[in-house]
Amino acid sequence: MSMRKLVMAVIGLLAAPAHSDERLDHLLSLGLEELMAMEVSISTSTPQPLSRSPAAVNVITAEDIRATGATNLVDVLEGVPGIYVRASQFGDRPLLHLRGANAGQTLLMVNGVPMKDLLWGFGIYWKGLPASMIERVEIIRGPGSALYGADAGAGVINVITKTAGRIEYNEAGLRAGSHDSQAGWLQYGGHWGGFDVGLTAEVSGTDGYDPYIRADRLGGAGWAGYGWRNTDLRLGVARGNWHLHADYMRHADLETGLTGAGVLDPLTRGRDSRYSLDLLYDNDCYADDWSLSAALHYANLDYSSGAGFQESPPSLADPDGVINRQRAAERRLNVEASGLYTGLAGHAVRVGAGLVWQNLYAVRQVYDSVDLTDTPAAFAPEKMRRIDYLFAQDVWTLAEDWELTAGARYDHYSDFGGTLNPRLALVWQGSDRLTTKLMYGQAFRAPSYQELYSRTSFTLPNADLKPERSRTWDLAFNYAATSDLRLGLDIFHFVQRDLIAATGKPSQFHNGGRHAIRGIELEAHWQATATLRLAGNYTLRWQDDGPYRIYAVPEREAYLRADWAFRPGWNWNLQANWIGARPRPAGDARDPADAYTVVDTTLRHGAGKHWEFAASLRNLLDADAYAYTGAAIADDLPLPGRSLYAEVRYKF
Amino acid sequence: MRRALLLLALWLCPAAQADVPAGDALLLKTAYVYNFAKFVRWPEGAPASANALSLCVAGTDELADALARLRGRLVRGRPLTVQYLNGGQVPKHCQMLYVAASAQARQAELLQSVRGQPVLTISELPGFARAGGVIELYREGTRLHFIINLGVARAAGLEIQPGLLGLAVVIGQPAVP
Repeated sequence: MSMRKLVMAVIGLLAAPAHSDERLDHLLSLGLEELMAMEVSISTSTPQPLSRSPAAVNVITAEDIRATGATNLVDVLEGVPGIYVRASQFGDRPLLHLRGANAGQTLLMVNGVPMKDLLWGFGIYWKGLPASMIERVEIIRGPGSALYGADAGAGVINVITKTAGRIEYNEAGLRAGSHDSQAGWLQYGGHWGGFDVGLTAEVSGTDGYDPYIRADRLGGAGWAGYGWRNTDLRLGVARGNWHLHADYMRHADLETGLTGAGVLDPLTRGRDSRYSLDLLYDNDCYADDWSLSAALHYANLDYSSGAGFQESPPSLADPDGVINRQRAAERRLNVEASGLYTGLAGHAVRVGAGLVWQNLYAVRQVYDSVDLTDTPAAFAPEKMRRIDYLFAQDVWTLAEDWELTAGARYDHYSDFGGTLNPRLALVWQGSDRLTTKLMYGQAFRAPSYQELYSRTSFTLPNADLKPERSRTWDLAFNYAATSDLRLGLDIFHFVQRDLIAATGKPSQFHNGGRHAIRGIELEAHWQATATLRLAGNYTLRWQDDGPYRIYAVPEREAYLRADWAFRPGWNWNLQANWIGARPRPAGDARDPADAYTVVDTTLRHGAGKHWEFAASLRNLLDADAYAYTGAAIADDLPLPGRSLYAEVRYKF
Repeated sequence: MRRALLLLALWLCPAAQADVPAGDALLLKTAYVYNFAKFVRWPEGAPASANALSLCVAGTDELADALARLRGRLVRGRPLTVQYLNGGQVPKHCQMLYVAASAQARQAELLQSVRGQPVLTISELPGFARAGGVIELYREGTRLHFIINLGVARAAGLEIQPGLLGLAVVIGQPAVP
């Protein structure tokens, strides 16, 4: 043995106490994919193996997205246990329901910044996000308010975009497909004068699948137009500890198809635009044992009904019908700083604070030729909301195999006051193979401006509303049966209180509802051979009947996926998504909305040094699939039939 | 450059070295190297010392030290051996070669010495893959990623399984889905 080897051996003995050997054993038992999924940033903001992070977490990578031929964020979310993407009749908006709750209980963030607006939730013309700008998506099933604040009762979806320093190759792509759909995109990563620069851009348009509605609320028949055009530009610049993101997105010529009330609207061409600036500072070693993060986020959102919403169609009595033209804009400014202290053995303590100013301005409305702008009758008030918040969390390694995460966040809203939301998670790494987690969390949803201040045709606002609150217990198991087979089981009990609904006559928003959801989420990932990968999940929920249940969401869902790299350079993906039946509430005599299965398949081929081709068939079996609607549209909303997409990418 | 700054920052930052996640990162890198071995097929008849798979290490850094812990681990039934090369020693009978930070100045020489031979070269040195190495490991934010130079791998007669390519940033050849 050479001197060097001897020294190495001694160092090895000193530096590697027994328990770290066990950790290595555990790591070596994992697949590379699991290793790459480690150090998830969203759940505790401290590096963590995915299986041990104190939450039920799923990660979708850009590779996953490409393999399935997904063109939009919402296409890939269907494959996550507990997520149901529901098409809304108004504009075919993809509402993201998690764990059976209202979509308002899902917190959607892009690079950690909530996308929620004051008035409409995900934005009046929410259409998901183009897949080409996504690096990965991290999903927490379960409450997230102790870290992220409002609207995280059912879960958190954080989209991380391709940005400066993370784009390893340049790419240009084109896609065309059914319903006269086209898209072109570009990604670029480079270094200019000492700065990392990243750019993604996508322009797309479609005529929409335009379902035929046999009878709308007024008994009228016709096609609901769902065409739209989209522009998405994201520029990032990074140097050292600093990152700057400048993003722009725009929807135009967006056909809403049907009004919220369920009347065919062939007229509306909505448009909105959003630009944002984010300045981020991250320093892993700001001082001894301290790392520091600070951020400044600014966003401006502007939306308009274009020529107007057709509230009621022309008739003999009213030859012009009723046209409602409206427009508004919102600004959001957020400053936040947080620090992570690792100076106490066995503890990682994060503390932080921030401020949000969010206001609605430039509200304009002309209703049936009457200008309501700057009158109390306008559809929303020009108002500012301020949120002050503080949070703290400790990840405490109690013993070698035990870890306790305890945290809380206090939010103070200028309109309704304060709310404190704690969480606790106990994680036990029982063996190399089994991780057990017991988790408790509280969360809240802030009442929207519509509920607080905005009068609609159907509802009156209530300025005294309190936030909706929820409490969730989770018991989760992750089991690595072999290095190629991973299983997950999550049992949860989710109780929402003070739910807001419009009640009485005239109908006005009030707090008061309680709704309990219990459920089981099962998932499996199997690397069957070196070239064949299988994954699947099954969700089963039990929900209280009553006025606060979301009947549009099924109680049972299943998903299966296979990826077969049958030759070098080729991948064949097949996925099936089963949506269970949806019963009707009391007083709705219709039969339950039937269960359905949508099967998609994608073939992808990397050819030569630069080229990559893919073709996708969506709803391969042309299944009859319907999204649940209220009784106004008796037959529910037909979903797209079989459709074909083809794309080509050039890398340089 | 940014990667280099990051590495430098980690080096200079006492907090980063002391805290538990940094230690985990080292274990994680070790597990990555082990997985690389699992996903690569060496050509039949490649020099194999009594069925073992030989990992050679040139230079020193934290990961170079940690790799010693892979000794005796099985890769598809073959035990791993870890061999530390002395100062100017040329790698011989290696199936894998890890080029540590201190060997940066010798990178070109080391790569030249194994050119065209079925040796899986691995390093964390920035630009390693573009300079003719097979796998370059790098840290981005809180995550570990890697670049594979597929052209170099093929020229060396190494067959890299799709499962590995699918997770890598691939250069030097067509990207594989």
